This record gives sequence, structure tokens and C-alpha cells, in this order.
Amino acid sequence: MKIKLIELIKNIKKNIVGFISLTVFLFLAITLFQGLDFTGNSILHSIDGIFCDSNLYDVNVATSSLVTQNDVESFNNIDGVDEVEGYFTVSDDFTFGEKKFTASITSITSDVSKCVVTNGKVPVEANEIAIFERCADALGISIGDQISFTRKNEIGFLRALAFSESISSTDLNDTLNFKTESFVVTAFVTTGNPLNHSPNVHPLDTSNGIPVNAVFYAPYASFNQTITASGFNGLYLRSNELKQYKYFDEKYINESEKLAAKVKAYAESNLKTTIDYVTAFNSDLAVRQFAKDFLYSHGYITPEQYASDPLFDIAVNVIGNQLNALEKNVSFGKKNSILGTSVVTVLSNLFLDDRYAMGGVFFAISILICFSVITRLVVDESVLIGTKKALGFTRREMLFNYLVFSLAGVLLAVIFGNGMSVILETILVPSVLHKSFTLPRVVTYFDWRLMLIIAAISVVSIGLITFFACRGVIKKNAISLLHGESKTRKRSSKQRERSAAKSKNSLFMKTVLDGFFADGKKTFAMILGISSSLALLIASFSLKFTVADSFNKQYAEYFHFDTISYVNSNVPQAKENIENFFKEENDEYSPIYFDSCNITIKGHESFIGNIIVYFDNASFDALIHMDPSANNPSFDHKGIWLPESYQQDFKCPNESEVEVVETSGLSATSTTTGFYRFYNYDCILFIDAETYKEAFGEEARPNSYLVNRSKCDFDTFYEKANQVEGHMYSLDYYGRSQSDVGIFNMVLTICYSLYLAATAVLSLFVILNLLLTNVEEKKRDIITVMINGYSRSEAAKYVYYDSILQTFISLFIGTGFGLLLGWYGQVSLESKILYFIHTPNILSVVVSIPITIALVALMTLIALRRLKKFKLSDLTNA
Amino acid sequence: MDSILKKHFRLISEVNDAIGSSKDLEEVIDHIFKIISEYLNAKYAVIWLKDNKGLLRPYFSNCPVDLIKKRYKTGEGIVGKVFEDGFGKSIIDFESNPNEEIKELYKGINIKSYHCSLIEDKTGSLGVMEIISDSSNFTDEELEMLELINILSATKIATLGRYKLDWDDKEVLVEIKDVCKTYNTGGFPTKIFENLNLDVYKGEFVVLLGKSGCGKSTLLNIVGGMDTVDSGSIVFNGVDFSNAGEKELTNFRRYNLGFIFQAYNLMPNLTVKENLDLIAELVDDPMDSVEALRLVGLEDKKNHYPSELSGGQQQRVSIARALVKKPALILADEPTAALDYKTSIEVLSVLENVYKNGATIFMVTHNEEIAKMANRIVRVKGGKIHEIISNRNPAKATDLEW
Repeated sequence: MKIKLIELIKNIKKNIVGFISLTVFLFLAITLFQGLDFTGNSILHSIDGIFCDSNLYDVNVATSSLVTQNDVESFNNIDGVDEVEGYFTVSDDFTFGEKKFTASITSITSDVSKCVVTNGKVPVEANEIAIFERCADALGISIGDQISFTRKNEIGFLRALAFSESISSTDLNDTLNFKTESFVVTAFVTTGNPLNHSPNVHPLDTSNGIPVNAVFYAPYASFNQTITASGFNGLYLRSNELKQYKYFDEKYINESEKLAAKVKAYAESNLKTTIDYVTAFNSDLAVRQFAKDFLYSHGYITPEQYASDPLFDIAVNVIGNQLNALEKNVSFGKKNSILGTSVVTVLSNLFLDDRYAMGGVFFAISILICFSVITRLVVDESVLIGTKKALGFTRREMLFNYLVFSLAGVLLAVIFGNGMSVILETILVPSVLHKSFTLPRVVTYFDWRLMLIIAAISVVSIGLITFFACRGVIKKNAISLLHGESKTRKRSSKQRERSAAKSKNSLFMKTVLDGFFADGKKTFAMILGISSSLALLIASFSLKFTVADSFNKQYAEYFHFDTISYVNSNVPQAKENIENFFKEENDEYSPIYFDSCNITIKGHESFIGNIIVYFDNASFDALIHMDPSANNPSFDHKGIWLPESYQQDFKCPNESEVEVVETSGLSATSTTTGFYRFYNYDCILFIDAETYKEAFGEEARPNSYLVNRSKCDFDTFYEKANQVEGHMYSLDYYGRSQSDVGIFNMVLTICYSLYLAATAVLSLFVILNLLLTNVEEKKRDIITVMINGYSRSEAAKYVYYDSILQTFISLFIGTGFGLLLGWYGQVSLESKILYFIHTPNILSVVVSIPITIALVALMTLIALRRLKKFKLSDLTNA
Repeated sequence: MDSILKKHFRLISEVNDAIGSSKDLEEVIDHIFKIISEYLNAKYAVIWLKDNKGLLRPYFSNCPVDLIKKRYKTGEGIVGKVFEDGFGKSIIDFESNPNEEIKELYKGINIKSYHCSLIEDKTGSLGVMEIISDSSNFTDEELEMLELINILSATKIATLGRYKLDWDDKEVLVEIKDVCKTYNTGGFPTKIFENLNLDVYKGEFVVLLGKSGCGKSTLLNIVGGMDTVDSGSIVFNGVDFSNAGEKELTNFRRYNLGFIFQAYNLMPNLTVKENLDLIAELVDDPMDSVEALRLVGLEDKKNHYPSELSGGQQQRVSIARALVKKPALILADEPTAALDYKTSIEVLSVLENVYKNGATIFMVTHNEEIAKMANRIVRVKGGKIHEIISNRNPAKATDLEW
């Protein structure tokens, strides 16, 4: 045993370059594959970690009315509910610096959906407040800064008034949200609600329908008690049974849905305060009548003032709203009505898909390269093998030695690869998530089962290739091995008789060509190395350029708007005001109804998206070019249209059953008309007004505008728009798209950087190694011609003619392979909410070919330096 | 009988036998030197004979100093004076009474005792014989015996020498002067040779003879511009290449040298003719490749690959390749080492042919028998030239046996 070990070590020392090549390649392959797998999973687990740290709710009940503490506690009676806590949330305005912002402020809970402090201390006093860390970063708010909220919360007051008997009408003047005038920021926090992943959230992403720029958390006692009237407008519910699941587990989703259904049923039957009013109204007219009676009975308005008093419309809205026990993917549990976890899922899937696109492909390339390395090694030892055979060693004994050699490399590769993949994960996860999430801790993920599987695959594949590499040589008879194989391409007698080449260059070329064809394994290894480098480069750049190309194509060909402006329909003349503003600014615009929604194609998973109802075909066409994808009917401004990514991923027919649930709870089940080309991070359902009414049973009313800012940048536009009466908010849609796509770009940058690093290693270990071996093999010939009078640079042609020929051939193979790999990357990395163009990226080829040529040239130059070390006397002294 | 007398008679008898059985001057001198070595404690001997211009030139020498271009006029130097005066010159205890002229001439030799005597027959002076001992002083008795040998052999020398002497004045091609070379092997310096001097003349066949590791291949490499010297000079056709750069050395090899390697070193992927063409392309006026192949008897193999030829044929191709550039000097490194006897003779016959066609050959071998083919045999031992033997009757390749 000891002797075998000594022999193994000596073998490794003797063939150290080959051993290192084999080990490094396998190490890289394992690191890439497992690293991407662990990273993808770690992303999910890390987010789940935030959820666990904050004890995030399983079901969130948001209500426009107020629920008392008794109501809250009664939810404990629901089977499956183990923890319930009420909260209060409002929207308000504040100014920081010179800018005005809108914020949502939620009361700090103690058990469910707690804040996780990342800096500072939890606010406890009435004038203390915490801000979501990402918002603080974006707005430049520091701990110790003062924030004042100024909005009059007439809605909240009316809510309290409508459903509580504890306040009187004389408190109408006291409608500020908070008791205190200003707050001191004492902490930065993160919560399990990934809604707060970006300060510029989608305006209608919040559960109470108000667009916000910042998210704050304040003690419950801070809120104006008159407004809250000792009540809550939301409940967090938690189930102990569900704690065992990760948020992305299918079982969690199913069980949460069941729990949400129970909660909804309970709420509908038990929260009578609200339901009495709600269920009594089955038409707008009834609601308006009730509101009129209510306000009149409380002495707020006279009957003559109904039509003109803005309070009347507010009262109608408040009373008309229904209890929101939001359903499944819209707002329950850890999979909230947010873009956050969907982003997380997509990011995670990028890595998980990439492990096959990148990791799997690189694994395959590595195995091939290891095969050529081992083959070379064995061929170089042909004489030794022949000697051993002559001495009486059996084939099995010799094969065993090579297997042990290879498997020693595998063992090292597996050990270091496993370690490196965990390290890679701990580096990548924060890098990927830091743009979107505050991540207090990274959950290091590793899968023992996967490690064992990968190790087993490595052992088996390397074992097999060693066997096949050795078999060809070991089975030859000893004499032919001892005499050495003549690697000569024998031309036919006719070819030989043709007049010989006259120039020494053509004679060099002949030797190179003969060697090229005669030593097939070496040629194959070299071409494999160069073409793999090129292919990996093309795939890397293809990934990089594809995202940008796709995004650019989207805005060049399909979307000609860059802004969505929201109108406050409670403001009289708001529509006219804003349209006049657009006209003055020479901006193109089109009125739409815009909302977030949950989209479910029957039989498939749901996804958060947006619904756009267009009213004016002409202006709509000017700003959006709807291009149906292949096999879809032409767009004739009718029906329901979804992005083609759905059709590609789900393979659903043009007419597919789709269920849409808006944030208000309004839902519809209908049939899609077709799917349109879309290359952006988003999911937009387009529907005309007529079809909307048929599906939803209500008329859609315009609440916003698609805008193409003609003149100015967004900040200038926003500043001007804010002066317009009725303008509520404008979203820089283009900028936000860029930012969202930027997250993917960042992930893909990581992926293609890994690819590029792998290419560099490939060049170094494979191409350089082969070139150096080539030079060594030709040493005798090179020295012979030099002794006979050829200069070193002339003799070097033996080396670089080879490189030129192999590179030339590899360019074709590598380009084809690279385009295929790039396409595979495009297809495997896209998701339902981010689709890429699938055309071959020529720029990636144009960029990669010179880089590959430069790489090979550099390696050739390095190899040629070996020539300088050749001593002519080596030939005669040998 | 007096023991000295007995000795003398024995000497006379041996000399007469030796002379009687010798067919040529080389043989006579060879026998004489053996007798001198036996009876006297002489390590080295040099025989100077008068050439057709009246100059004294070394005809025979077994000392490690290259005397081939040395000439003495009558009356010049010790040799010239002895020839003129007719009186011998002895420096019995050379260490106590060193002579600068002798020391300079035989630089590198540890001279213990020196004697120079006239060789004359009844017709007159023929030449001079110098003998050197590196171990002890010559005694009177030894010198008397030398006198006897001189007298006895003079007539034979005169007879053979007058008709058979070939006093061609060859031009020097390569001058190796005071060359020193040391290798650093694993941190330990290994002196290969020190203050080595040797000349190679045009049209010569010089053999470097010595056992493995004696430095002969190193010397070949140095002459071939493949290795450098630590000190000294290598002058080729009047140009000193000892400090030449890589470019100059490449050109030197390109235009002046042809190589024959021990392992043939033919390009395996090129045919025989293409192997020659590859080298012929280097010069403006090469020999026709087919013609070169004809010289070595392989014109019918021109379209074969080296792997399709036997070892001897491959070596012959290698010789043809060396010839194709019409080089001034052909360097051969143990060309028959990898061949059997019969094949070796074939190859040597080709070399012989090449030499007879006017080539200058500088060959390295460890085979004593092969060395007999050479004009001059330079025996290398321990990094030094042990002796340089002029071989006036080189053996034919076909006569060699080992």
C-alpha cells in the first residue's frame, strides 16, 4: 500500500502539468455547477431567512374599516391560526431636503412581521420612527434626522367615524395622522415584506392603493388615536404548522391558500361591523344613498351640498370598499402582492437554470478536455507501457495505475470544488441581492445529496474516460509500443512523385499539415481547447448583449412611452388639467386604466403583473406597437393580450383561460385573444374597455396616462407635473424598467464573468499546455533545422503554423458552438417576466473572435519563448 | 656478455625486424616509436623531416600539441640548429634547466627530460627527432640506444620518405586557440577542457577519438557554433566566431557547415528528397538534391519517407543532407554509433567517398578502428588533447574491422 502511494505521488510529480490540468478543470466544473445551484438556492433560503427572522405573516388581512383588539383576538379561533396581531397603516406626505415624498407608515408589531433592525434602535417613544433601510439609502435619510408628516387623513377619520362610536363629530378638525408633529429616525429596518425592496415601488403596489416612496415604522401609540380609535386596519396571522415550510415550497403555497380561505370565510361572517355595510350595498346608487344619509345624520353636510362637497365622494369610496382578505398570490403569506419575491424567484431561477446552461456545459467541456489530457499522458508514456508489458505487467495493473492517478485528481477536485462552491455562494448571494434587498444574513446552502451525485458523476466519467484513453494504448503489443508510433501521414506514391515544393515555407507547411492529420488526438485536443474558449466567450458576450439588445428592442420597436402619470380622480377637472399639461409640453399621451393584478392561466402558476385598459386606439397605437408573436391572430384592438413568454413557457394556445384578480379584489375569468412580443421585465395584460366590462362586470375608468415625454428628463417633468391640479404621481416607467432589467444584467454579468474566468483558465491550462507540449515534441526537429542553419524565428514556423491552422478551424467550430450555447443561455435564462430575443447575437461573435485569436497568439508567443531555451548542443549531448 | 651489449644487440635486432617488415614510412615510424617507448622512457616523439622546400616539418607526432603548421628553417630554433650542426641537443633535467622555446612549442606538456637528435643517412641529413619524457630524466644509456635507432632507421626513412612523402600545404580552415569550457552541473562546475588548441585544415579528415564523457562532443558543438566557449577563440576561415551573436552563428552554420547526427534526425513527415530540399533552400547555390542522393547511392529512394528506410540508409540520407549545401566543413557526431558493423561500413564508405571528393570532415567517434580512416587522429582524454597523430595512410572503410 505504501509503495502504491509512493508510486502514485511519483507519477503525479512526473506528470504534474497533466494532473493539475485534470484537477483544475474538474474543480472549475464542480465549482460552477454546484456554485450556481447553491447560489440559486441560497438566494431563496436567505430571503426565507429574513421572513423567519421577522416572523412574517402567513395571511395578511387588510381592511378599509377598523377592527378592534377583540376582533383581532377572535381570529385565534380559526383552526390553523396560532398568532394574530393587528396593525395600523396610513399614507402620508413628508418633505426631506427640497423634495416631497409620500410614505406609508405602519405600526410596529411585537410578534408577527416584526421589524429586523439593521442599524440603530427600535423606536419605542411616540416621536420615534424607523425607516426601511433601502428607502433611507435612496432618499439620503440618516439616523437622527427629523421627519414630519403633514397630511390630513380625512379618509381615516371618516373610517373611524363610520365604524366606531367612540368619537364625535367635533373631532373632525383633528385629522392629522399622528399625535406628534415630528419624528426622529432612530433605526433602519428590514422586514419580511419584500414589497419594500425598492424606494420607488410601483404606485399601486401597496395594499391600500397609495403610491409611496418610503416605508416607515412607528410605535402604535404615535398614531392619532382619534383616527385609529383604538383599532387596526390590518391583521397579520401566523400558523405554527406553516413554519415548517420554506416560502417557495409548493406545500406552503397550497396550505396558505387553505388558511387564507378560512380566514376570509371567518372575516366575512364575523367582522360584522364592516360586512353589514358592505354586503348591504349591491349597487353604486345604494352606496351613495347611504353615504348621503350618514353624512347628513352626522351634520357634516346639507342635502344641497352633496353634489359639490368632496367629502361625499370620499365617504362613498370608504364605505364602498370591501373587506380585503386578499387571496393567494396577491396578498397572503410570504408570497405577497409584491414584485419582491417574484424578483427573488426569477433571480434564483437564473442561477438554477444557469447551472445547466453554464455549469452543465462547462462540465461536459471539462470532461472532454480531461479525456484529451489523459490520452496525451498515456500516449507520451507508450514506451514505458511497452517496457512494463515486456516486463510482465498486466493490462489491468497498468490501467489501475492510471485510474488511481485520475481519481486522485477527482478527489482533490471534488474536495476543493465543494469548498469553492460554498465560498462562491457566500460571495454571489449578497452581490446579487444587495441591489434589491437588505440582507441581514446569508443562509449558506449546500446540498449533500447534490455533492454526492456530482462526486459520483465525476468519478464515473473520469474513470470511464481514463479507461477509454488507456485502452487504445495498453492493448497494443509491447514491441510496437517500444518502437514508438510513427506519427506520419503517408502520402500516396503519386502525391510523392509530384514535384516537391520549392520553398522552405511550403515544406514547413507540409510538415505541419502532416502532423495535423497524423496526430489526431493532439489536433482534436487543441481544436477543442480553442473552440471551447471561443464558444464560452461568445456565450458570455451573448448573455451580456442579449439583455441590452432585448431591452433596446422593446423600446425601439414596441414601447414608445416612458412615463405613467396617475390622476387623482377625486380632484375635479383633474383629467382636463393633466391633458392640457401634456399638450403644453407637447407630450404624446394616451388615457389608460392601470392596476396591479394577479394573472393565472388555467393549469399553470400565477404571476403578478399589471393590467392596462386602453380607451383611445389612436393614441394607444402611437405609444404601444402591439406585435403578435408567431401563430397569433393580428391585433385589432380587441380582447385580452398577454406577453409571448407565457405562451412559450406554458405552451398554451392562443385562446387560453385566464383569471385576473386586481388589487381591489375585483376579478374576472376570461379567454385570451393572443400573445404579443415583449422583451422587458414586467408582465402586462392589455385589454380594451369593452372586453374589460364584459369580463369584470364593471366599466373601467381611466386613472392614468401613458406618456412619451418629448422634451425633458423625468425629474423636470415630474416637478412640472406636480404643479398640475389633479396630478397624483408619475412613474418613470422607462427608468424603472432599466433598473429592474439592471438587476438581471447584474446577475448575468456575474454569470458571464464566471464564463470569462473559465475561458481564461481554459486558455492557460489547455491551449498553453498543448502548445508547450507541441514545442517539446518538435524540439528535435526544430533544433535539427536550426543546427543546419535556420534561424530561431524561421524554425518557430513549426509552432505557429500549427497554431494558425488550428485556430482557423476552431473559429468555425467555436462560432457555431458558441452561437448554440448563447441561444441555449437565452432560452434557459429567460422567464415569464423577462424574455429575450432569440436571434444569434452577431456582436458577440465579432467581439469574441479577435479575443480568441489574441489569446491563442499570446499563448503561442509564450510557448515560443520555450524555443529560446533550446540549446543546440542538447541534440548532440543527448 | 655485457648486459648493455646484449641490450644493444636486442635493440638492433628489433629495429631491423621492424624496418624490414614495414612497407611504408608510417609503419616504420610506428614501429620505431614503439621501440623508443619500450627502451627509453619517452612519452612523446616528434620526427621532423625536410620537405621539398628545405623546411623542417613535423612528419610524425604523438604529442598533444598540434604542430602541423610548424616549420623550421635550417639553423632556426633547436630543431633547425641540430639539423644544421648535426649535433644533438639534450636537456636532461628540463625542470631545472627549462628552455623557453621548447616550453612554448610544447605548451601544456609536463617536460621532464628532452632530447633532440639528427636523423641522417649516408647521403646526408634527413631530419630531426625529438623525444620527450614526462616522468624521468633520460640516461646516457637511453640516449645511446636512441642513437642506434636513428642510425638503423635513417636509411629506411630516407628511402621511403623520398619517394612517398606528400608535402601538400593545406590551408587552415578552423583554428581552435586556447579554448576553455566549463559546465555548471547542479551547482558544481565541471571543467570540460582548458587551453585547448587544435587546427583543422581544408580537405582533411580529422577524427576526435575518445571515450564517452571526454569532451569530444562538446568540442564538436563548439566548432559547430552550437555552444560557446568560456575563453579562447574559434576562428573559421579567418573569422573569429567565439563571441558571435546568435544571428552570426546561424549564418555561420547556414553557409559553412553540414551536420551528420548520430540519430540521423531526419524530418519524419518529409520524403528523403524533401528533407534535402529543406536544407538546400538555405543557400543560393546548393547541390541538386538528387545528385546528392546519387553520391550516397540512394537516388531511387528519393520519394520514400525516413521510416521506410533502414538505419544505414537514413544515415546516408543524413550525409546527403549535409552535402547539399556544399559546406566548407562537415561535422559528424558518432555517425555509426546506432548502426551495426555492416551498415557502419556502408556509411563509412560513403563518408570516405565524400572526403575523396574534397570535403573536409571533422568526426567524433569512440571507435579506435574507425579513427584509422582519418588523416589526423586527435585523441581526447580528460578534456585534454592527449595526442595528435598524423595518419599518412588512412585505412579504407572496407578494411576496417571491429
